[in-house]
Amino acid sequence: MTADALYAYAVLPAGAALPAGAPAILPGATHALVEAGGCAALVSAVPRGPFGAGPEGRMADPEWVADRARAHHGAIASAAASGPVLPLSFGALFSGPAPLIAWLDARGPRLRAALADVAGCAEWTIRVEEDAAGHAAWLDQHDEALRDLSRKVEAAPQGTAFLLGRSRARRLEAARAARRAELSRDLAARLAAHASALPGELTALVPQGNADRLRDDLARIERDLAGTGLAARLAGPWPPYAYARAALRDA
Amino acid sequence: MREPLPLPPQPPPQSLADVLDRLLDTGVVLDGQVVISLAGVDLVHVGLRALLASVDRAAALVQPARLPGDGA
Repeated sequence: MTADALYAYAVLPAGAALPAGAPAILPGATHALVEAGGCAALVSAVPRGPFGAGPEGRMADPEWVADRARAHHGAIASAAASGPVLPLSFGALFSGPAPLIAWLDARGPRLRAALADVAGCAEWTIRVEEDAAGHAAWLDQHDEALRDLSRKVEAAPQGTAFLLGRSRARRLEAARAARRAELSRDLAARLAAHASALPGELTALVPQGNADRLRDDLARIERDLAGTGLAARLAGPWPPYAYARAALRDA
Repeated sequence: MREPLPLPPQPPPQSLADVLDRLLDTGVVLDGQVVISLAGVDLVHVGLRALLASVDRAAALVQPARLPGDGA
């Protein structure tokens, strides 16, 4: 098929080198750089046909989508290993160099500023995970109101016990939600202490020099949370996917 | 001048589920992610993301495609 479109992965600084050994969005495609606006777009020339199937066509082919996602991320991660990148959204296809150059030219100053922001940084995300049964068991041990309700349920006659049981269930749900929210607030504050920007509630752009401290901080938190039914999982380093969207939301 | 390396040379492997989770609703949006036409010529088309409207949906998509050794 004729390569009649450009798949665009990311924006790089002007003069950036092509990432060595990076995967391409389609097998057999190669990488190129299109420079404009004082920066460059990492692209592959591709036929537009495979991208035009639409939701119905590709819903039946999840492996095709998964392979494209791997390749998109692989190319961006390779570029990020040697300099700042601004990932474009997954699936960005331009009909040729001219519209891509126009797109870059129109946004040059903002793209360059965002590239300066992400230089030397990576993106990290913390996920709060809950083992519902384990969390309930921990709260049973540590929440005085729940313990009191449990004692009353055991001592009450059947009808009263049913009503008390419902009160206890509501109290348990409220306690679970409150503790999840408290942990999220605490994690957000800790993340902010290491970050240069916070594009999401628990997602941060972190200077490379702070990454080890962030890891150590999270390792301590994970140890403290052991056995409580809640866990905090640190994911990263990632190219600045969330930051790129947040920084250029209105570009 | 080239900036310092922002990522470790060998970052930990990312699972496909993590990658899809990260790719959804991230990256620079191109003109609202629709086909932008000028004089009948499409300039920008963002199609793949439409397949992956939510993380839950993406996770469901991932299951048949996960390969051995992808990690957690």
